Amino acid sequence: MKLSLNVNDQQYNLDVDADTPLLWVIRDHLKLNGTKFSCGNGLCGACTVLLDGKTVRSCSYPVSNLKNQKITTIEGIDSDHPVAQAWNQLDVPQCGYCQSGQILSAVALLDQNANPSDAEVKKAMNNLCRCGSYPEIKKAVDLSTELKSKGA
Amino acid sequence: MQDLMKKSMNSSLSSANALQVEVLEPQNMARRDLFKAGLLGLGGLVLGFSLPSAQKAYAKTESVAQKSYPVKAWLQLDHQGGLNLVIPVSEMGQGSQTAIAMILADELGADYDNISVQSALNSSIYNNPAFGMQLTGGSTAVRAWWQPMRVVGATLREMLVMAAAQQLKVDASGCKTMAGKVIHSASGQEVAFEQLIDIASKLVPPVKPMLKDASEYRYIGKPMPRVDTAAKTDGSAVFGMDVVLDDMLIATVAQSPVFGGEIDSYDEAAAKSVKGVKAVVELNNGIAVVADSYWQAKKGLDKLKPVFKGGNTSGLNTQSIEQRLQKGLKKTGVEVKKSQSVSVFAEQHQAVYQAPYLAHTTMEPMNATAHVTDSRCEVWAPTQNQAMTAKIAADISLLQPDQVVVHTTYLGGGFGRRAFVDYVAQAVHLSMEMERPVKVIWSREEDIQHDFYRPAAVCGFDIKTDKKGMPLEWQVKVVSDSPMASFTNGSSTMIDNSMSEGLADQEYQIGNLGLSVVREDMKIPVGFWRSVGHSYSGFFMEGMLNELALKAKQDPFDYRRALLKPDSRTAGVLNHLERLSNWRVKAPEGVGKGVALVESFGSFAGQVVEARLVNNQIKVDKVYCVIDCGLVVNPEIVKRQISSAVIYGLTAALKGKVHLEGGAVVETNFDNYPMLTMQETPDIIVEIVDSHNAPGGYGEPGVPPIAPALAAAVSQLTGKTYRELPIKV
Repeated sequence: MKLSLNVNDQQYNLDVDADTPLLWVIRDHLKLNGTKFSCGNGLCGACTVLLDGKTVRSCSYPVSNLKNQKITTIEGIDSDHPVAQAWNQLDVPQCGYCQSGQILSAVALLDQNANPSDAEVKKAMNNLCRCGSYPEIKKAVDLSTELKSKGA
Repeated sequence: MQDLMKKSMNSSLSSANALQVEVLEPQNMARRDLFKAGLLGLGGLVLGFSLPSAQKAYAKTESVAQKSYPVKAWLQLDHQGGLNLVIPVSEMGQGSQTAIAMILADELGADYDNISVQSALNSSIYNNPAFGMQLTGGSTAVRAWWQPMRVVGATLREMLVMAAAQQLKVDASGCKTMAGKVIHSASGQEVAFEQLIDIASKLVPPVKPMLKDASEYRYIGKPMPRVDTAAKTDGSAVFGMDVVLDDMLIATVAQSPVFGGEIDSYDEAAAKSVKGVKAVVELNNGIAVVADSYWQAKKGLDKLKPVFKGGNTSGLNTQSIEQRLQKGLKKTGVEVKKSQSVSVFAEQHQAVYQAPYLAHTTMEPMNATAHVTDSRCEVWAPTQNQAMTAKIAADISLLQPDQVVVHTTYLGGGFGRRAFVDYVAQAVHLSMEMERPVKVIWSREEDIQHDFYRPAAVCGFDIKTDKKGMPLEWQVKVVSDSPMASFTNGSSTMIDNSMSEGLADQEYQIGNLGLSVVREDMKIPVGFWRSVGHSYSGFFMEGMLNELALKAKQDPFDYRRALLKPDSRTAGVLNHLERLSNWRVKAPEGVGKGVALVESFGSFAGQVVEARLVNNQIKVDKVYCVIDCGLVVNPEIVKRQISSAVIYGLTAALKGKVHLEGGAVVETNFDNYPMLTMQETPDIIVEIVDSHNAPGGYGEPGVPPIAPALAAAVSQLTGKTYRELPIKV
């Protein structure tokens, strides 16, 4: 099918099979490799991207489901975004493979909830991390909240 | 190779030291010429020298380098003052790039901010001193490279000091380096490193550079920021999965679910009817579909409907495996240590412990990219094992070793899985078949069902104690499979040290201890899983100690102390942990506390767990950790590795078990082989013991204590004894 995608405020015109998951369009067709493949089944969140600001697990989201939403991948998050700043300041990543998905989940969370409680953060940040960087991710979400409220 | 691996498996610091002396043999350090601008398109001073055993290979490397292959060296100082450091170990999250950059910066007197890093290509000059091969594992990155990287830094420092002394016409002994400059203390004159490139490149490197005293370190011991953070937060870090080459095809595979089976039949036409599918290629134990993109390859594989036949494990299921392991306890094993039979004793304790197969489940599934031509085989892989990657690439492509180039990408987790290179073999094979670059990507299902698993193990204790409950005779027998036999294609009777490590070589003063090992070769691929044999033996040994303490009505800290020399490092950790965890303060109603302490990989790790039962499920609230890992390069990285290991170990202790049915693995993905989530993660408090001992490992030692400490905590809540993993209330 012919597709017109808005990814990170850039327009792309493509011709791909309708059942292709968004992940593989982003990776194999647009060559934006920051979005990761891990489980292929929407179970781990490594492939998380944003559709109009809300998280979606792109590995199991066929492109034919898209309805002109704006797509944001890790490449669309500026280094001065409060979440990116917090992740950098706290040196969150270990192996780093899940972090694009973690960061986008945090961006979506803070857009929807400017001051999430501990329980809300732990519920929303349900992406898996095999290195167990969860304590640092939690701290970084808290710092992002603080930076964002200060208008950073 | 087995002997070399054994050295590290023994976690022996002395063997690492002995090897470090070899590395330091000064007459073997040859000077590298200045590489003119053009060769690298960069220019500057390049410093490289090889280990003693690698002189010949090194000469070859140099001739290859002149044919425009990338230079193999240690570091390059460019004309802007930038230092590019070649990191000889794989970065899989453990922070080794950062630690090695800090060591180099301090020894050289460089500005840490001016250091950039790149992964080493394949060359014997980067052989891990602990193994004698280019391999990352065994928590050796800092403890094996600590000394050699200091020599690299000191060599360049002395050359730059000599160059500055010449330029300033002063005595070299009055000069020192600091923050990227050579400073003549008496006159206060300074010269930046990059201004000394021309003079330094004409000097002969010192044969025996002086290493700095610890009091001169600016970075070592401080929580310096990681060198890989920026790339890992903006999505630009290149993992194996992210390698893109011109004209590249993408393949995905189905491998025989029964281990050792082969392909029988498949519908090639159906696969090829999928748009973008280029080829169907039979592999050793499976079949690949090659296409323009992953999704097309996957759709092709779904339509291919491959059927497999044969295999070595076809009759096996979890129950039959466990029965065979239990029966193994009745066999006479290989006696590692002999005990004397005691006839006078107060009590006898017999216990059988058990641990299951475990998968690694790195977040990045197995993958590799290869491009084979008539004269060259180039591989891009997230691998812990450049040595075997290069060897298997040469073997399959029928090229000479010096025609093989291995690029190590970032690894999306390793944990020992990527010491094996089965996925590399597939990429090389497929590239030859397609005569194009090919990247092979495994699905998560293939990744979980074709791992080199942590072997299942059963352990029997037969212990006689005196009337105070202290051991008079301690017999232990372990039944398991051999990762090293799997790694080296060893015989089915071969046993290796990792099968029983930790069961007889802890600091506990149990004089009359007998240990024997029984090998049961199940034909299930087994390998090195984070903390290797300690991952189960820590549970067996410490679980048994907690049981004995309980029977003796002794506090588990006191019971252990009675078995330890007061000045031992284990005792030091125990005392520190007792303070940190407020052990003597009684736990609130409904909270169970447990302790365990394991020496592994040259370090000593103790943990106290606080847990509750919520709706009859285990909820872990807090884990207190103390580690003595000798001299610490970056304390923040050490703390996070311990916390990471606790979560890795908790996942196994609470959820981890790979089942077999009909010779095939049952689990397929994260829904039936789950990981700990943030919500389930306890508060983890880590403290590091101040130590001037040589650096120990810290990537793995945090894993072994968590399961036995948790078992003891849950035992307090339920009154039951837990001798099997995962722990089920």
